[in-house]
Amino acid sequence: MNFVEPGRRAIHSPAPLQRSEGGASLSARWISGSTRLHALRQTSPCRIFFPRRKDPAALEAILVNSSGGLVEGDRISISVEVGCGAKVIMRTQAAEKIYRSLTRETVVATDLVIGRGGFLDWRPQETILFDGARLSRSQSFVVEADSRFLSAEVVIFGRIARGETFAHGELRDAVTVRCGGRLLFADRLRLGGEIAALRHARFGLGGSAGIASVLYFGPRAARLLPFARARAEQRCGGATLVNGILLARFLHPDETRLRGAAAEFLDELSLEIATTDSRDAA
Amino acid sequence: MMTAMRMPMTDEGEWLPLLLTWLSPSYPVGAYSYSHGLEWAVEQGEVLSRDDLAEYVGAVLEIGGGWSDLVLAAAAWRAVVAERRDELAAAAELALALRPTSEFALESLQQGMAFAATTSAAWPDDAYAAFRGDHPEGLAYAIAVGAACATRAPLRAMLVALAHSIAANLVSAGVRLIPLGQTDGQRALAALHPKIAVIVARAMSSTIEEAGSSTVAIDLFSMRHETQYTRLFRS
Repeated sequence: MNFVEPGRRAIHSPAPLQRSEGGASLSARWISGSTRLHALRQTSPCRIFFPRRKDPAALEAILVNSSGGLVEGDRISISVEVGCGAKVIMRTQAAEKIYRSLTRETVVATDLVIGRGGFLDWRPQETILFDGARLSRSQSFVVEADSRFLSAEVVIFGRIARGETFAHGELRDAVTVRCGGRLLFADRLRLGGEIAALRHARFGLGGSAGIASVLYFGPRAARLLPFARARAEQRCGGATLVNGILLARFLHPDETRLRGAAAEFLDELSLEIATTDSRDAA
Repeated sequence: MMTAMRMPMTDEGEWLPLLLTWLSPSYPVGAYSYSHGLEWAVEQGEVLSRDDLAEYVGAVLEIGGGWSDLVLAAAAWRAVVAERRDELAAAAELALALRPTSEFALESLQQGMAFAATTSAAWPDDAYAAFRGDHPEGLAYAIAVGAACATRAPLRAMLVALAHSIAANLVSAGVRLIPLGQTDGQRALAALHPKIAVIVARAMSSTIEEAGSSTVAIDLFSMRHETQYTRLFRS
């Protein structure tokens, strides 16, 4: 990635051809009992803020997209590297809006590398696809056998409360998890063409307002499956374990219920992970 | 190591019997024991009729795991014909990982391993044996089929046979589960044939980037099938 100097100003021109090509890159290291920021680069429209630390063991970072949304031709690259034994909590400040594109895609590429014994908690706010959005998103996790991550994503099909749904456009959403050079898991959601029909197909997306997905990788993923399954199935979802990766998915026609299901599930799963970890550490 | 480039057979007297055998429901890969989430869908009342069944199988082929398998089999076929081992390895790796649930991973891996073992034993081929040896981690069904057919059958014929085989196996599962009469099962299959022609045409011009699905509802059925109390099928 090529980042411009951090001091360079963002250009907020309304000119139609002005496109964002930016990103943020953060790396963290575990140094004498705390997770420290090791390197940070950021290019408009991306900024990273660090809230006041509550827990020295974890570095908390908030990613901000100052452009207020992404349009066609925008290319955003995010990279997070969690060093051996370090713990990073990443959030975003607001929902990511993907506006209508006439020709070119909006591209968001996220690279997440978690070293031995490291932990990444990656929970961006939801992505809202406006009608006509064309989003190509890729998330690549590179892990070691004993690293861990928890990731949650909610994609909402349109500004549903305003009566505008994602009926045209394209969504390509790819996730990969690699461990020791081997591809453990790949997920590729593809929506294109007659999106309204695909979204309402009962064996496609079943009329859901969006898709919520939760991934957990860690040495205890298999042990968490019965818990995750029970809690997901209570809430319009399901859970499974593929090559050591715990995956939960949720669909619901009501966006508030969908969002709520994912948020409640995450709260419970996070607590269970913390409880299991501390029980094992004791 | 793939040996000298060999063109697919042009005499259908040679390749048609192979496809009829390899992609027949009686080829010993255990296809009868997988329902691809259908068993849960029937249990929940989501699939109750012949039309429901045709819609389910149509979704699997058009936008689900069946579509990904057609794209992956085509990619493997092309990679072998062009002798591009790196592309074949990439397709094989993706095919093993691109499984949205544990039971979908199981059905693909178990059938792939059985297909490769049986085909190697009954139709010995040095290049195919070497290809199996290159993949000790296992082979997904679509890749095992694509690589075996590459030197022995045309691409389009292979894709038609594979799509039909996926459809016929699921229809057969549906006939047993719903249950439907045998004739209704064949009517469901007949209704799917025009769709298969369109899907195969798309798969013919696909690249591996087009592997992927939007059948999240079926993924949820499969997840819930993992703990279904009474079940006949492994997926």
